[in-house]
Formats: sequence, structure tokens, C-alpha cells
Amino acid sequence: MRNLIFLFVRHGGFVTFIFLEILCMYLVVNNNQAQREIYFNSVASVSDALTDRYDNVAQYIQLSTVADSLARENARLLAEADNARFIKAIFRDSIREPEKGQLFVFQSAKIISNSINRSNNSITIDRGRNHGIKPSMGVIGADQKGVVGIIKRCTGNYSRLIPLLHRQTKISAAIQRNGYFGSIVWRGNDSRTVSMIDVPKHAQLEIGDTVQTSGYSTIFPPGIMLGTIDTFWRQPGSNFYEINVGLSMNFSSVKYVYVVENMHQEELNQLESAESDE
Amino acid sequence: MSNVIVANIFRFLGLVILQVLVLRSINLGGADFNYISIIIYPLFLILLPLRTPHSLLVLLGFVLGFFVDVFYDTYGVHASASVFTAFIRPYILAIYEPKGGYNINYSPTKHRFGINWFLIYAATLLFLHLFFYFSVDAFTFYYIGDIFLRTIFSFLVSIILVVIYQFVFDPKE
Repeated sequence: MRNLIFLFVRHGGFVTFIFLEILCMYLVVNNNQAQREIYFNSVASVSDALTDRYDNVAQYIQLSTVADSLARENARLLAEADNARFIKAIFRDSIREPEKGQLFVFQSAKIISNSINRSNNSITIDRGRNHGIKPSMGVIGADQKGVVGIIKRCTGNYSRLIPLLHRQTKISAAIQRNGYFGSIVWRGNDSRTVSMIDVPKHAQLEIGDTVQTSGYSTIFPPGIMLGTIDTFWRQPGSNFYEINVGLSMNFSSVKYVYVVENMHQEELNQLESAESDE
Repeated sequence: MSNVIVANIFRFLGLVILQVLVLRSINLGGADFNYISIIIYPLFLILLPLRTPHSLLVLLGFVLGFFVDVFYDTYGVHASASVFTAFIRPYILAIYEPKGGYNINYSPTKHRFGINWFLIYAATLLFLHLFFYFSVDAFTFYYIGDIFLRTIFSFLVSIILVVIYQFVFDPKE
């Protein structure tokens, strides 16, 4: 203790200086927008570089684990493809199309940048036009169950997507138990919750009901998990419920995704545009 | 003794008020040449008595900078520069030490040490203060050219004001 006091008396100026500069930098980063952004960008680029290096090493060491998970992934993908084929079968029967075919195909991709804490977030994946990705394809989770978003822009090797956590998002969804459908939107405040709107007031809801994609859009196959009902209420006088859905997908840790391609997208588009021409 | 403290308290208040109420709103460069800020408040640190303990000096630097920050709405930016200026002051004083050494009962003023000595001493501290301030303001050395330009232009204007202050008030303490 005496030594400590002695040290302070001799180098008090330096100790005070270091302490106060740290305090000042803390104040600067916490209270000034420009400096704050520079600080977090710098931290992010350093930590990105570190993570990247760690990933490389870890991937090499964990090859056997990766192989295992790939096998599991394949099995799940097969089930997924069956699901897609089932819808196709009904289609085919009704229009008597002779050959068998796939309606939805899946392509794996890796997320290379992701944000969750803004009011309009964005995600970048490492697949682009060269791999057959086109705007308005759907993206679903691979290592986690759930909808991730919709492709917005593509370059040769990369694509940018509008994630579920974006105010422009509107995805057709249905309640698994009874099939009532509505739209999923995001209010911009919580990365673990989305809102489901346009569900009519005579629908019978229960907390914990599963919400999944409805299949009424050409983007996602039906039955992709979205989340479960947390709370629901109705504004007095409104005919529709407002439902809070807790997401099954954890957007802060999702890493691998599948891009969903609807093989009949163009055909369906033509049908719709023909209708609007009339 | 108490004279020195009272004088410094008044100087502190006067300089902060002058800085935040008058100089803050002056933009000499206009909208196209945003390189000139008039910064005079470090003069308080420059003129503190020679016998001020080092840690007290640094602490006063923080208090001064923090007051200015409150009005500039840039918490920490001015404070970090002032803390830095206060910290390096003894080392700058050591560099410019006259042949006979300092009388530690004095304050480093024009009145005690002459205009030449004071000008060199004050200019060094003011320049380093401004450079540190604009560096923290930019928060990256990517714009190092801009930082230097701002430092130099602001320094030229501010040092004139510092010298005028010495001639108008000619403080002993």
C-alpha cells in the first residue's frame, strides 16, 4: 500500500492522465455519432479479420464434424425436396402434365455480412448471378429453421437480401393449426419478434401456435417455419388481429442459408402480367 | 496565494464563457472553408502557476475541457485534448527552461518571462492542443491532411488572440 501511494506521488500526473484519457475516449465514443461509427467499424474490421482466421483454422480441424453435419443437412434437404415435389404432383395431376419435375430447388450459401440492430437491416450472401441467383428469390435458414429474407440485388458473386428484419418486408404466412393466413411485417424494434397482421377476428388463436409460410406466394414453399405466437390482441373496432410472433430463427447467429428458386416463377409471372394487361 | 487561486478561477470562467458564447459561433472560413476554429480556452492551462502539481494540472485540464464540451455538445473531445495539453505542459516547460531555472512561485506569463519566451511556449502548447483536438475530432488519421490544415489555420488565428490577451490584461499570475 505504501509503495502504491509512493508510486502515485511520483507518477501521479501520468496515472491521472491515463485514467482521464480513457474516460474521455469512453465519453467520445458514447456521445458522438461520427466517432462512434468509426470506432465500431474499426472494431468490426479487426474482429472480422480475427474471426476469419479462426474460421479457417477451425474448419480445417473440424472437418469430420463438418462431414457429419453435411450428411444430416443432406437428409433434411431430401425431405425438403419431397415437400416441394408433393405440391408439384397435385399441380401435375390437375393439368395432366406427363413428366415429373421439381418445383422448388435449393442452393446453399453462406452469409458474409449481417446486421440486426438497425431499423432497416441487410444481409449479404456469397452467391450471385454467376450461380443463378436472381432478385426476388427466397432465402431460408440452413443451420437454423426459418425464413431469412428475399434477394434484392445481385452482382456476379454476391447477393444482397432484404431480411425479415426490414420495414419493407411483407411475407404471406399462415397458422399451422387451422390455416388462417395473414402477412408478416416487422415494426423495427426487436430482432427476435415480428408482427403478423390481417388475421381476421374470427380466427381462433392460442399462444404458442406455430406460424409458417402459407405457400400463397411464389417465393417460399409452404410450411417453412417462421415462429410461434407470443401475444395477440385486437384494436377495438378492428376486424383483424395484431399478433406478435417470436422468431424461430436467431438472426444474430445465422450463418448458412438456402436460396430457394421457384422453377415456375416465370410462368407464374407471365400469368399475372397477362391478367393485369386485360 | 489566495490571489493566484482567485485570479485563476476568474480566468477559467472568463475563458470558458468567451469560448462557448462568442468564439464558438464565429466561423471565419465561411461555409466553403471550414478549417478555422478559434480556440483560446487552453490559455487557462498555459497560465496556471508553475508549482501546480502535475496530477492537479491534468485534473483541471479535464474539468476545463469538459465544461467546453458541454456547450459544444461533443462530450470528451475537448476534454481529451485538454487533458493531453495539461499532461505535456511540464515537459514543454522543461524544454524551454531559462538559464537560471524557474522561480516556481511565478506563473508562466509574458509579464514574468518576456514576450519572446512566452510566445514560443504558448505557441507550442496551443499547436499540440489543436492537433490533438482535431485528431480526436476526426477520430482517424485517414484525413491527416485535413487535420493538419485545420490545426495550422486555427492555430494562426488563435495564437493572435492569445497574444492580444497578454497585452490587454498583462496578467502577473
